[in-house]
Amino acid sequence: MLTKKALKKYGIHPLFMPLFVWLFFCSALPAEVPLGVEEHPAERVSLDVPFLDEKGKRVTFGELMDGKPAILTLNYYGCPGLCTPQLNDLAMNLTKVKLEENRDYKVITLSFDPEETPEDAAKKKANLLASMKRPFDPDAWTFLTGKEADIRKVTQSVGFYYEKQAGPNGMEEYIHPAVLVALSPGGKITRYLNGIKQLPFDIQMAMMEAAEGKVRPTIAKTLLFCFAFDPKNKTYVFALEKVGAVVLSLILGAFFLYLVLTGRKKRPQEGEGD
Amino acid sequence: MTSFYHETATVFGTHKNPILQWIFSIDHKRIALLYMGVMFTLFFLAIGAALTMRSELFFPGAQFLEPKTYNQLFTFHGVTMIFLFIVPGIPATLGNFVLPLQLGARDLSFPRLNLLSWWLYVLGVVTGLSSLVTGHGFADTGWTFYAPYSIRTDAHVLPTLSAAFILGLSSILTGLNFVVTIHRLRAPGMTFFKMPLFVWGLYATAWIQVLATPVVGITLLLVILERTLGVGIFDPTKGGDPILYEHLFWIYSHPAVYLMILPAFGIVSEVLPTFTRRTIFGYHSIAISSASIAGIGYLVWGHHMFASGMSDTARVIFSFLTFLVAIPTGVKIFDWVATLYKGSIVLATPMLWILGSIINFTIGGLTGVTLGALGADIHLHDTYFVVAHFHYTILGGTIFMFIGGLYYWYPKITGKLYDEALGRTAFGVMFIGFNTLWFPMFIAGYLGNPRRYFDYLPTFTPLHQIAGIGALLVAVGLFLVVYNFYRGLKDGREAGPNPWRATTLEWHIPSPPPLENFSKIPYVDFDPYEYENGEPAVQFDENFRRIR
Repeated sequence: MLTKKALKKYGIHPLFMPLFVWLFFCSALPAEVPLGVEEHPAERVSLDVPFLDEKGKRVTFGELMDGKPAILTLNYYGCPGLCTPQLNDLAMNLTKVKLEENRDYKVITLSFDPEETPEDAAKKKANLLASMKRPFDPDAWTFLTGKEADIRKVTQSVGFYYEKQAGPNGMEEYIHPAVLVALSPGGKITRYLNGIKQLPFDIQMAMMEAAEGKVRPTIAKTLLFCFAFDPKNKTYVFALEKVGAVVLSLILGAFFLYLVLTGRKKRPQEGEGD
Repeated sequence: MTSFYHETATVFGTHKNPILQWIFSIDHKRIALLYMGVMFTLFFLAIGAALTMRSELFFPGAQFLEPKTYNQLFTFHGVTMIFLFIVPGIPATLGNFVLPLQLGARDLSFPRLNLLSWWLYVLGVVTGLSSLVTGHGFADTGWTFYAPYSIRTDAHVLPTLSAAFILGLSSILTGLNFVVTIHRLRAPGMTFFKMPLFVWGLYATAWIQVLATPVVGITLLLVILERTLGVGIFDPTKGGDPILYEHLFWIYSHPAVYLMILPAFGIVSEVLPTFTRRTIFGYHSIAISSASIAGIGYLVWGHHMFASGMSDTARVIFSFLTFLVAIPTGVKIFDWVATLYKGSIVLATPMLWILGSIINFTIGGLTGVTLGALGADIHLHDTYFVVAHFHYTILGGTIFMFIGGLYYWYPKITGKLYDEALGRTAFGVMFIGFNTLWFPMFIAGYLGNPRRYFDYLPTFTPLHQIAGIGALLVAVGLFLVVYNFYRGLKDGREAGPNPWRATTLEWHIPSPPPLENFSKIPYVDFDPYEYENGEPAVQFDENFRRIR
């Protein structure tokens, strides 16, 4: 054991002790969980966690799904980024899918921001349903809010990792991926649809497979990546590739001219020379 | 007279063993047959993969394939058909055989390089196929190897990529050989505009091979570097750019589709005058359009990427250039149709294949213009519509023309005649089968069936089943073609030097040709397709002196 005396002997002030303890704890912690989606196909989402629907009524996934497959989306209603385009795209696609909502499938949107209320949910729902090109059964798509611990239960089993951070304008925002999760009637995860744009074809396939509980691999894993390039600040001073291209074109052009101008191989008249 | 089957020159002196005599032969005709042997074996393997996929898709839902196996199957089909069959295809086989004959030359300029190309090709084939039995199985990326998936998949992508690289090298060497041969070994008197049009097709193709193939070679090398050393060129998590991969890939691969079709266009321009007994309409415009397709073809690659993130300006320019490339292609089609006008049309088997291919290619080409239009492409991108368009141009176009060419030069290569009636039947089965197979896919694609899926929605079932029946007919048609060739070899009648009464130089020498083709090099100061009263206008005696 290190005593105060021994510490002094090595020139370490006792006040540093808490730092060591903290470092020790940090090294024992698992590596930081990456943000994004870690897919758990065939895993089950618990169906009896209580949430509040947009009317403030207490419901569970099991009650909402009522023995039907479902599309689960994880968003928050005040989201300034991915969620709105994702949900708009979903709303558009749901009108194109050749299945009947409520009878063939359900849609569940769960807010992972525990501070949001059923009023926020109701507003988002009204907006989305109003944007749809044909009347969509309001009972088929539920917008949930809930307590932090309950939300975590769902996001953990889906493998959906997000984090609260201060956004560029000082507001608090979540960093999170965009994904649709297909759930079988029993709560089994059958497919992940990544990204904010989907094909109606894929959504319909996902629901038909989910109804039978068939687990399917993810098609597009890379749609999530997003990168930005700033053309104003990131140009090369010496455009090597352009200079190279000009030089190469000149060489090729010269070679071609050389071939054309020198013409056919000269041969003796009788054609025995080669 | 002894033919090239009886005597040959090899790279290491003389061999007694006939197998060594073949695989070390530097005779362009033997090398062409070596290519044919390997290539058609692979062609039928890839057809097998396609039929397997079609049977899986006969009913919705999973039948007997795992999704990953399905991905590997379409990758195998694509890689084999594109890199191993159709890209080297016509130039390495018919081109190798016919080019020196049509130029009045004794061989290519670099016979040893020609043999090296074949050996590199074989090395590429072995490397590519080795991944079938090693590692985590064949690549499942599709033939385009899009990054970053090709960097991350645990399938055995490295051998496939290396194979494509080696095959690229082989392709460059063949192209180089052809360019030099066409510039240097034309018979005396034969100017560029006295060359047969098949030579023009090969010439345009050769330039694409030389100029575009290095780009894809380097690109695939970069993917290899990225997989083995983790250099972040295309992987966005390391700051790389996957769109850059798509650009580099298509800069080669779009010219490559012209590389597939141009020599085939050349075959059409050979067969049509022979079986209409008149000169080709618009010789110069056909020759120049080949060159302009090769040129403009470099500048249209962006139309593969309308949906993957490009500026609107770039998209509009690429869309416009894509329309532009349709013009020289259209010129050819009109020239061919005009050649038929008032010709004495002989519906022999090669002619039937060529006429069928013109119909198929017109459908394929026009749907290509549809896809080149920006708005339509956003809707049709990555659907069966694209797959149908591609197969209409390549299977219905190039491969139909290739088979037409094989029938046309079969008497020259073997010295025998095939069965004409069986040849026509095979064409009928294949033409009907092909259209039954692919036309429904246009509709399925338009209605939203994405490509490369191992399953589909039940509403698409009828379309997939019609296509399935078509696939079966195509298989029967191909079998009949092969059987006919086999039977012709076994007990076909002797063909004689010129069974078709054709005009170009290869028909003035015996079938099969002797070792160095021409006993004397002819003096060629006449146009390639001249007829007088239904007979070739120019005829030679045994010493290649003109008697007409």
